[in-house]
Amino acid sequence: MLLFFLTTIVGLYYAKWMPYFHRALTAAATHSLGPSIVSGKAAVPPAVGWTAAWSYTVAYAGAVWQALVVGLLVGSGIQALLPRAWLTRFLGRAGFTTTALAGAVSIPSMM
Amino acid sequence: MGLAKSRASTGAVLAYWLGNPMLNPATLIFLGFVLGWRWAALRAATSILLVLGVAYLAERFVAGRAARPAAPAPAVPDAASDRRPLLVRWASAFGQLAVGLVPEYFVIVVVLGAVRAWLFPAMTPAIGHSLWLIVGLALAGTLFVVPTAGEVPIVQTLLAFGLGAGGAGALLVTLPPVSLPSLVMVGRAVPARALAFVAGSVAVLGVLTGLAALVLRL
Repeated sequence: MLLFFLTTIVGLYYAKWMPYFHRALTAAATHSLGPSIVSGKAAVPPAVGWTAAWSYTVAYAGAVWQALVVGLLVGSGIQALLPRAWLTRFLGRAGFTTTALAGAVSIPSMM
Repeated sequence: MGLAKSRASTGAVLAYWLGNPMLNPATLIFLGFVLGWRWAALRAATSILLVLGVAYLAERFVAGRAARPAAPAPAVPDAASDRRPLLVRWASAFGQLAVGLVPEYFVIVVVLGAVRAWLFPAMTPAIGHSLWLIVGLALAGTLFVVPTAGEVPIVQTLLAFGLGAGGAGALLVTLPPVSLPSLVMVGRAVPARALAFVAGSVAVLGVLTGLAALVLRL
């Protein structure tokens, strides 16, 4: 269980909290987060075709790969490292409280 | 997915899935700095509605229709009964998730990347303020996939080329929470009816947020 929380915190710090802190400073200074992933700096996205497919996939993968690895580590960690009974107690019962709790847990992970 | 395999409730799985991109405090801060704090407030309000309201209602929607007890969940080896060493179990769960989810997800990303010009028409002030565009962008945003906070520069760029507040509001609410690849992925764990309800709600909330942005003169 300690291993799970350690992985989650270190992973999120590396893939999310630290880079987002720096991006927030950039956004505050420049009022921009850079070009759009859909159309860059243009009004129209590239024409339908292989070039558009490849460029988007590369840009998307480049943006998400660190978070993807952390997400898979945490997701598999939930299955392998956390006691099943523990998880069922907090997130297993249907109802509004459980839904709200899971929503609150999602805030720091920012995936 | 890990939550679902460990038998978390449908509402919990949906709330965690939708909350990650929507309640993201970093995105809200980016949005405030880039487009202004009134946009961030509108997005925060819709996100709370979606994560608490829609996730809860989707769970009720599934439970209400299934009068019979739900089909027995697929047999999942309980962590406690598995005698393999901890790290082996973790690696095996990691491998299963990665092989089961990632390739399929990226195939759909490739397809959506190829056809993005169909989903996002060339922006001009002439079409940017039309009401039909709000509906069109709400549907496109529901299907299309973007990285975390990717919606902020997309909307900023389109606004610069003449998109109105209505379309901007629709995209800010529909791009992050669901997408075609994420719906297919979560479909492994959550009943299709609940997912159809969530996707429909996202599109409708997108249109409503677009209209709200017009009324609020954002």
